[in-house]
Formats: sequence, C-alpha cells, structure tokens
Amino acid sequence: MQSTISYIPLLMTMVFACAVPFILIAADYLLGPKRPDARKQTTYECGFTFEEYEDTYSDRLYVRFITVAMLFILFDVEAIFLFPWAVSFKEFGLEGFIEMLFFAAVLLLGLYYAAKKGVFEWD
Amino acid sequence: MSLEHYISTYVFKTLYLPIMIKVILAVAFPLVVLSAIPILVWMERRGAGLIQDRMGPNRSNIAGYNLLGLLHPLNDAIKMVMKETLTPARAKVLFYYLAPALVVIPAIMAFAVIPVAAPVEIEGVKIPFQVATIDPGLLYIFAISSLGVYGIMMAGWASGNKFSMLGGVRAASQMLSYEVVLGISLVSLFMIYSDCEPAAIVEAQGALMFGFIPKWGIILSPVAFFLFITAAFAECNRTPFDLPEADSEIVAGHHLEYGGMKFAMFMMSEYLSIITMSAIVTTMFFGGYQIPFLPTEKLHYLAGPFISPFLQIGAFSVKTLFFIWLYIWARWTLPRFRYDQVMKLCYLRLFPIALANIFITGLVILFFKL
Amino acid sequence: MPMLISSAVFYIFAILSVISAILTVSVSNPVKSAVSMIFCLFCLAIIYFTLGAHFAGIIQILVYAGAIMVLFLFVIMLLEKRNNESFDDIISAPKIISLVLAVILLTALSAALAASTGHSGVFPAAAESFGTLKAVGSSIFKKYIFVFEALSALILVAIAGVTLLSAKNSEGDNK
Repeated sequence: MQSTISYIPLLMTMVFACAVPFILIAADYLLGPKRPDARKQTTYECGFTFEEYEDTYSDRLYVRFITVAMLFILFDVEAIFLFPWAVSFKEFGLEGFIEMLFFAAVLLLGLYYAAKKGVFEWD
Repeated sequence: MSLEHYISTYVFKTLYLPIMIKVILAVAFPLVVLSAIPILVWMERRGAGLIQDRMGPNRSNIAGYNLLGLLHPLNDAIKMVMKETLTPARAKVLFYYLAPALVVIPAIMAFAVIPVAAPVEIEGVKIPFQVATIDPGLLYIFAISSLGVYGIMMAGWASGNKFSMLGGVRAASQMLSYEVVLGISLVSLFMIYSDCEPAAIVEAQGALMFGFIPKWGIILSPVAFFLFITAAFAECNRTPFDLPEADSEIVAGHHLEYGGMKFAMFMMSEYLSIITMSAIVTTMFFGGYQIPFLPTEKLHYLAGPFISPFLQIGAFSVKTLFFIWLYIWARWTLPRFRYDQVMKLCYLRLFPIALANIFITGLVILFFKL
Repeated sequence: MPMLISSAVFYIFAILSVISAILTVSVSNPVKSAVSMIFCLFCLAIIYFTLGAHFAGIIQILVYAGAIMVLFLFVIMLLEKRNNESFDDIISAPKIISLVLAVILLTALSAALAASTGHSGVFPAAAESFGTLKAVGSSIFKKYIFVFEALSALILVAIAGVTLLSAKNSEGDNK
C-alpha cells in the first residue's frame, strides 16, 4: 500500500497552512494598538444606527440562495460520476458513452424543467 | 567502501532522503506561493496604472530608490500588521476570528498537487517537483477549494452586518455554482489523457501531433479552456464576477467588518486562488512546465539534471504569470455582471455547453480512435 | 516505516473524528455543531485515504464536507433569528427518538462486529489499484450500471422537488 503514503506530504502542507493564519492573527493582535471604543465598534451601516433595523436584519429570507445551494448539490453529485467515467472512457468505449449520455440527458431534462419553472429568474 | 558504509548510504538514500525531500517540498511550495502575493499586488497596481495611463505606486522608497513601486506591498504588509485590532460589537467573536483562517488554509493547501518541473534523478535519488503525486490528482484541488466557501460564509454571518451577510451569501452561492462548471469543464481533458493526475497530463502534453503541433489541452479542447477560465474568474470572485464585493450595493461584502491582518488574509486568499487557478490553466491547457517543442527527455539530455528543472520552473512561471496578468487585465477592462446574469450564465449557458463539450469530445475520440 | 506512519495518521484522525462527532451532538449552538460536523467529515476523508480509498475520500470532502454541509450552514445562518425554539428541555420527543435510533444503530453495528470476529481476522491484501478512480469507475459502469442509471431518476425527482419548493415560495413573495 505505497499509495497511501503519498498523502503524507499533503498532511504536512496542511499543518503548515494551519500555522500561517495563527501566526498572522497573533502578530496582528500583539503589534496593533488596542483602544476599544463603543462608537468605533458599532456596525458599519452607512449612517443608520443599528437599533433601527435590528430585527429586520434577517427578516428577509434568502430563499433563492438556498435553492441555488440545493441545486448545486444535485449537479455536483452528477459531476462526481463524470470523473471516474472520464479517466477510463477509452476503455469503456461506445457502451460507456451511451450510458453516460442517458444519465446526463435525464439530468438535463431536470435542468430544463427547473429553467421553465423560473428557478433562475431573479427579480 | 566497506559494506557497513554502503548499507548506511543505501538506507539514507532510499529511506531518509526521500522523506526529507518531501518535508522540504511540503513547506517550500506554500512559502514560495505565499511570497508571490506581494508581486501579484504590485503587478495589479502597476498594471492598473499602465492600463489607465498613470504612474501607479511610486512614492514608497528606501534612500530615494523606489524600485518601480515594489516597496509598496512591503509597506502595506507593515501597515496591516500595525493596525488596531477591532472586534465589532455585534460580531460573533469565535467565528469572526475563525473565518479568515478558514479562508486562507484551503487556499494555501490547494497548490500542492501541481508539478512545476519534471522529476529528476541525481545520483540515484529521485527528486520530484510536486508536493504529492496522488491518484485523484486535480480532484484534490476541487475538493480543497470547495472548503474555502465556509470561511466566506462565516465571515459574512459572524460580522453581524447585513451588507456582510448579503456579500457572504452571494459569494458562497456564486462559488458553489461555478465549482460545478469548473469541475466538468476539465472532464473532456481527463477523457483525452485518460488520467486526472497533473504530472501525467503534463507529460502527455509534451508529445507532438502531426510532427509539429504540441498536444496541448488548448488545441485538443479549446471550448474547455474558455469554460474553465470563465468559471475560474467566478471562483476567485474577480471582475466581471466580483458581485460579492460590489461596492455600490453592499459596500465591501463579506470582509466589510474586517481590518488589519484579518482583512489582509481575505486578500491573500484571493491572490492565492488566482495563482492556483492560473497554475491549473497552465498545467491543463498550456503544457505545464514543458518548454514548447522540447520534451522533458530531450531537455534532460541537452541541459543535464541540474539545470533543466530550473528551465522548466522558468517556463512554468512565465506561463502562469501570463494568466495572472489576464486576471488583472480583465479587471480593468470588463464591467460587472448583474447577479441574475451570473446565475443564468452558470446554469443555463456554461453547464449545458460543458456537458455538450464532453459528449462531442467523446464522439471524436470514439470515431477517430485517438 | 510507511505502514507505521499510515497507522499513526489513521489513529490520530480516528480519535479526532470521534471527538468532533461527540461535539456535534453535544454542543448547543447550531453553528458550532455544524462546524464540528464538517471537521468530523474531513477527518473521515483522511481515514479513507489512509485505507487506500482514494476516490471515496475525495468524494467525502467534495460532496459531504464541501456541498451538503454548505447547505446545512446556509439554512442555519439564514434562519438563525426565525426559529427560537430551544431544544434545552431535558426530555423531549426529538431526543427520545434520536436516542432510540442510536441504540438500534449501536446494536446493529455491534452485532455485525461480533459476527465478523468469527473470521480468521486476517483479510487478503487489497490490490494496488483498489479505490483508485479507474477501479471505482469500472465497478460503477460495468457491475453497478443499473443502479447508476436509476440514480439519475432519483436526482431528477430531487431537482423537480427543489423547483416546486422554490416556485411555491416565489409566488408567496409576490402576493
């Protein structure tokens, strides 16, 4: 199982990558001046005081974004199957081609339906 | 040479030296990529100056030498570290500090599977110029960069500001959507080269077609190139897809409430992902580290194992810098899209085109038995 | 030596994944819970890599940690102020149901484990190509092709579901 060992350098890179933000945040914290002030720490809202809209902050529900996230998962699952198919495409030949064509066609049907129903119409 | 000595050198060469090389590579790669960020910042500023017919940064100097403005990034870094550490009153403190770290970590990790030169063998020791050669190859980059979304979402949410929130949500859904296109645009190349390990793909691109055209991805699958570069721009949240930072609508998006080094970390991750995306474009479509018409074996024969890696790293850097320049060029050339246009472009144009590209490539491979 | 490193990595991330899984169910803040679940899934991916399941590990990160959990966090963050029902009651219906399910799962798993100890305990070594993209591809597209095509129908139904949900909601917004 020599192949599993090939991931070890990635793990080392990960350890290094995790160290970088800690060093940076620590440096930022240690070197910068700290003069907290209630007015300085208020939220940047173009001149409004935040009491005015505190409750409306998440009142509007971003359904569109949730829809996008759900659709993304479905198409991502489709994309996942394309990768193992692609690397041995030449081995599968015409048979594999038709199998994937059918799979993709069914999903494109779904995309067409979603588009017709106006999922992508943002107003 | 005594037998003991021979055995100990053998053990050193086959066991310890490869591990040491890997450790050095695992730290050197991220360090080099991180130290390229100031150069990118400089390129962007000077490039903006060039395109807009002005000087660009030129004031910062040491003893009267301004080095064409190269000292400005250094100045910026010092300024960023010395800034006051502010925590907005309405921020969720833990996540507010965690978010920039979560953005930077995947951005640093993603570059690791890209080869910058062909492996060479010096005195029986194989030296690779790639941190890890793993079976999933490029899928690793997609997987790791898909984790970058969390930091941005969390930054938007933890800042306790509605502009940040909107920016974070916009950025997240844009990055998610284009991630699919980013992945499937490369599928046609995986089909052509029957592999998704970048080093193998680069080696395959060294061959020549009809004796004079290099087998580069851009020639074999040009549609994939345009799809990929579009998706890569969107993935880095760069113009014309910089809606998460649309200043006229939502001020600065997810990093609105951040300052000092924490803000710099968002900038760093943006530049890091530009570097990674440009490196992927180079690797997949423009022959990676290959010098045109000079395949690795020939180069090793001509220049020897000591010089040829440097030549190949040079070739790789030149190609990658060109695509980095393309990002900067586009930034000062193209206007910003509207949000609904971004989403429609992804799902209703790029996605079907990418699928069609895959099947047309498949048909061509099947009929011409490539 | 390589085996040693592999098993060391395996045990470190196995422990981390158990800890983060416990955190996922015990922390009261939903965002903290989701973040520890993401970390747990990431650790699982690394465990898959140490076991030689390359493609499964990548999918674990790409789909579970990178896509499905994004949706979870999206919903948690966007609905944060809408839903203030607390689950802090010591005994509540969801808690009882999840406890029952956990006990059933635990019994099933330990039964499976007990049944497998009858085996000699030595498993044949997996082939070098085990778990690679090509190996997984040929098993999907040769052995399990019917399941794969049936999956397309499942995803189609899911797309239709998402479409109906969002279409219904947008009508509600307009009125």
